[in-house]
Amino acid sequence: MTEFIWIVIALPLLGAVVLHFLGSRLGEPRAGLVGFGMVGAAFVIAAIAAVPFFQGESHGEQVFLFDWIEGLGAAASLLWDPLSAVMTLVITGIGALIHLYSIGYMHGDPGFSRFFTYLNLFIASMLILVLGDNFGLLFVGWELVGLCSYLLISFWNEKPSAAAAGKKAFIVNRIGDVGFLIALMLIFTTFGTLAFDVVLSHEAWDVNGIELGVGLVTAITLLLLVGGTGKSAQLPLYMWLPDAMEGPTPVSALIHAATMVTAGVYMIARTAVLFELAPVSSAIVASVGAVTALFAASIALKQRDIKRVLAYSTISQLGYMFLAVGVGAYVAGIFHLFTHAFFKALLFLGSGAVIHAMADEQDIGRMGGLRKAMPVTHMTQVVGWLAIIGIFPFAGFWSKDEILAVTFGKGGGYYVLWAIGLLTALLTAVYMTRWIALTFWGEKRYADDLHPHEAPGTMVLPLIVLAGFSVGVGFWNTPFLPSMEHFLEPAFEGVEQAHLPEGLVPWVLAAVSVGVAVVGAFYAYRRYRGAGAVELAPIGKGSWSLVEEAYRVDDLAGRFIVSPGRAVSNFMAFVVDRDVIDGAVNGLATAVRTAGERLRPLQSGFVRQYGLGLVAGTVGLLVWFASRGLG
Amino acid sequence: MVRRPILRNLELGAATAIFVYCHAADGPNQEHCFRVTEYFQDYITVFAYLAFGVILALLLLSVASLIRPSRPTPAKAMSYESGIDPVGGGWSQTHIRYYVFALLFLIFDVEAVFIFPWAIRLEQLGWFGLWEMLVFIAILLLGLVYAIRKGVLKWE
Amino acid sequence: MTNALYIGIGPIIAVTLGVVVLLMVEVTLHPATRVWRLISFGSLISGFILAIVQWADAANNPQPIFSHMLMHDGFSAFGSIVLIIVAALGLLVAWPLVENDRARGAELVALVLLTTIGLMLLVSAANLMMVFLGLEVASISLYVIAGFIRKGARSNEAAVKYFLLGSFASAVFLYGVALVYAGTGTLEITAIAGPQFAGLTQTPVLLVGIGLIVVGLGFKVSAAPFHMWAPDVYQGSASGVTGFMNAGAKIAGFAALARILVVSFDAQRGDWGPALAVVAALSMVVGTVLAITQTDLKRMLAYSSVAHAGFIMTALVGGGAGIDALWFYVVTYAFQVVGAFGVVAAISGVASDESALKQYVGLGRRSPFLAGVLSLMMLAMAGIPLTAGFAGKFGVFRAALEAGYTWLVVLALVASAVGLYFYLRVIVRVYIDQETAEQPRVVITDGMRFALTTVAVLTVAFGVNPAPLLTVVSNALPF
Repeated sequence: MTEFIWIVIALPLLGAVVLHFLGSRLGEPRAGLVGFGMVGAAFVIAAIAAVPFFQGESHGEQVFLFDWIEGLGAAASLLWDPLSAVMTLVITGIGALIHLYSIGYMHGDPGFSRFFTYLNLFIASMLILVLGDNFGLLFVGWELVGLCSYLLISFWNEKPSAAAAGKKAFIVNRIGDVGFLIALMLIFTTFGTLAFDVVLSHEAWDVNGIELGVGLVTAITLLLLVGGTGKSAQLPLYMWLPDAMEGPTPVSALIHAATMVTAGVYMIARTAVLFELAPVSSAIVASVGAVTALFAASIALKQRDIKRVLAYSTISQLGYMFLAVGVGAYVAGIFHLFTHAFFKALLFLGSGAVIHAMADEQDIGRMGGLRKAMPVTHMTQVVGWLAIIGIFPFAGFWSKDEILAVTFGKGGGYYVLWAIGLLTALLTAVYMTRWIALTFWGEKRYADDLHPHEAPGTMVLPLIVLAGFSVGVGFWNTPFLPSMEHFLEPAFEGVEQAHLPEGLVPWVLAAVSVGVAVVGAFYAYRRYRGAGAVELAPIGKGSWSLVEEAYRVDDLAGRFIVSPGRAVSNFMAFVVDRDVIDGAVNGLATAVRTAGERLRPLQSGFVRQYGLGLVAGTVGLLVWFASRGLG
Repeated sequence: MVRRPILRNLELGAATAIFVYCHAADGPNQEHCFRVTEYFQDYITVFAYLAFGVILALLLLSVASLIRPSRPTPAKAMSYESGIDPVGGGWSQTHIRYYVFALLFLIFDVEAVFIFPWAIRLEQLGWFGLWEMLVFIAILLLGLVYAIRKGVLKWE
Repeated sequence: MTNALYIGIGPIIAVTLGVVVLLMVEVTLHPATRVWRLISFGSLISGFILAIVQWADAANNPQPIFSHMLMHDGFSAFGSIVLIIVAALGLLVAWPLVENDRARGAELVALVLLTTIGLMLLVSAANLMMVFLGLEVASISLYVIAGFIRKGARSNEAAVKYFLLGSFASAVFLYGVALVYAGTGTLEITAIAGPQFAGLTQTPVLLVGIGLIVVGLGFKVSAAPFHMWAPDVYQGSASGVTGFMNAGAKIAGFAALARILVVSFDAQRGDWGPALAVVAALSMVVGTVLAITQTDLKRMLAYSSVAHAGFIMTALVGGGAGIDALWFYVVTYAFQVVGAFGVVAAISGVASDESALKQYVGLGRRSPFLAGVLSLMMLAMAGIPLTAGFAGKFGVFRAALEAGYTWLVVLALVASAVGLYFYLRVIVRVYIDQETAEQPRVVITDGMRFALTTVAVLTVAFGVNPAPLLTVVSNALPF
């Protein structure tokens, strides 16, 4: 079975080709069904191929297809091991559900078949990324998913903001890619190949007599981290992700929550062997993750766009994953990636259903009370909400608390990171509760001529399935039964991993973080349950007077945490984010263009001027050669 | 020996440079330098002739201008056009059609350049040489046929 | 011995016969255009077969032929094969242009074939005089092709500019040849590096000669700062033939440059290597930066071809070790150029002298085939993995890295990254932007469809699995 694993990639690729050429002839909904069928079939094949891992019979193997670039170690060769299996199952599984959902969501869109073409292409690219057994193929997938992301963000290209967002995502990612590319060059010059089995194996280093200095490994891993921060939207390269919400909501769910943005986490987990040798890099990864988590969560507190809240939340959750892989808890990182993929896809698809029902309204200030109009969607979103804020026994509880506990267990400076993580958990509870409260609870704040309705079956079904998973998948890796840890063991062979602290500590920590989540949720519930349209308009202004005297705790929290937080998030959102970072990115593009404009007058069209250029070049070369000859 | 003719030509400049370089006290490649200077001596002969030609012309003209009487009249200052009175400016236009004739003339002119040396060596070249030249002329003739059929020689 | 004589010249003779027969048949019988096609493609196909024969024979039996005037080796044979393929593809794309002009169509075909002959001489030459002859046969034909649209002001302008600057470059090249002769006493490419002047490798005369040869060939391949003619000429020429003009000149120009520099002047690599690196760097920067501001696809492609000249030159800075990388890049790039200009010809018409980017808006809906080919070519030129462009870039960068030109490779990487911007902009136009006005329907001929399909398939095939072509080019080294 394993040797046919390439079919998993080939199916969505075939789908993309078929849809590109025949898509418009197939029409709606057949084009969508083709896309869904391809990804679904890929999922089934991947699931069957993954059975030996579950049975503990296989530790993974390479599947060689053909030589691509000789001498670079970049063959078209796949690696089917537990880590890539987990990623493949997430990509194809959630991908299939999102394809199904999109059939309903994209109903009536003139670009219906084009959408599924891109989506299938994306799935194929993402599979190349996670299945490649060398950095060459990883990079191919890396670039291809970037391209698909770009195409899908600006899918509704008639909106200038969508086109701009696509461009922004692309440019920011290029910055990360430069780091990644330099890392690949360093790897190649160090190891003489890009193949994982040589680069990522202590035995192979011994065989080939490769000596690794700490400085070199640190340089390589830091450059890899630069690539990872671009793709996974971490500080300082996070700012494309919120804008990426201009794309259709299924895209946000699939690419910008569940799969592509986790590529950085996957890449760091895959190169754990290298990061292990560079403690400084690992510490930086952890710090970047923790700071990003807090930073994004603080911004999320202030957003009014239903999808932007989730976008910042995604950045924040990706920060947790970085924190995990940074402290050496690779399994915990992948586990959180795994659970997050389900509940965040669920939340995005839910908000898509809401946007769909509200006739493209995205401002949560003008929603409210949708509980009654969309009962099923509401129920699934409650599950997603509980999962993301980490309430027992939902999926987010297990994965997030494992990360926090392991971080705590590392001691020393990691206490600070743990505290940041805990603070983030509090903020997460606040903003997610605000999100769900403003959207579904309280009184309706939308215009009377809107009649929100429950989404069609193809959209509701994925929501229900994902909600089920958002409860269930957490049990794959509990402290009582760490099945995922056993499952992933072969992939992290020879890597020393951080583990949960001994004794009662994890239980106390779990209780603390659940407690924090409950406090945050309760505060936000009180605060936003009855929010009316008028008081929401300028967020947070004067509304504090509503807080009753009996909740002085809330008031204190508001005064000492939320207010500074608000100031910081204001600063972050409006000064750092918009002016400094966006300005820098736009400036780079402008600089190149300006250079071009300045050089244009040289091309005047006059032959005499061209002749002069020719002469000048000739004289330049003559001077050089003459000086070489005479000197 | 001409010591320093007009240094307009690059070869000579380079040759001089090598010469100086090689005659420096301890040039690294004395034996090579010897061969270089020997090689460039051929060129120095050429330059000697060149310089001689230029100097001779300048000398004759300047001597003539010194000793001849100068009595300009309008008739003398007129451009010489084989005894006919010049009409119009010197930048008169020529009909573009002459261009084609010039091109065709050039082709057969160049052909002749090839045929003369070939004729001298014909005995050594033998039949092979004859056939080669016939092929060459045939191809050029085809060009002429093409030009005639295209009507470029018709003057309308 | 005599066998090699005929096998070595076979492909050139076949195409030459094609030209002669075509022109004679045309002026005597005035046949249907179908006959033109028969004769021209007949001669190209027989030339192709003969070039394959030459390739097979040269593998065991490489030698100089015709008193050391031509070289019978894998390098010549491979160059001829590629040039004939590019000429055939170019003719397929240009064919509507040929058929639309009953009076002069045959001339255009003949000129394309003549250019091919000149370029084949250029890659096969074993003597600098032969290089010059090949260069002139090709260049003069190209000047006329550039001015083929007699009624078009831009076309005329292109021809005049190309001619004036081209003759200047040819003169510079010839002067370089003369200086090399002055410095070494021979014009034979293999003999220049020979023993009679061993040790006299750094004489100023010789080095200046090399410099002028680099200028002359640098002009033909449109490397900066000798590139200024390229945008005007490629834009002014009829779209149908621009791809061939660009691709053919690149293939043969770089082949000749590689042969001369590596075979004759290997001992002076320390002198011309850095100069070439600077020219390459300048080309990449100038081509990339100026391409960004263009609003016309033909002009943008012209500037991008300047940048690509820089990328290709990067392979040569390290000397002979980079020749296979150079071949791979130049061959795959030639296909991309033919493909991209083929699409331009289909969209703006084979005789047009402009191709504003806005004509491409919404092409994805009007003609998925052309849109797909164009996008693929753009991705390949940008060097996206899984296209031949990536494998090519990788090869030339590695060659430069191994030669120690790290700064050049870093610059090239930056240039590629920036270049992505304008290549992708085309794709955005094609697929994403909305049409503001109804654009005409696109009709393409079967020949064009065949040519474009071929280049697209080759571009993907060599990108996904470059090994076969790499094996071939590693055998196509100069004797």
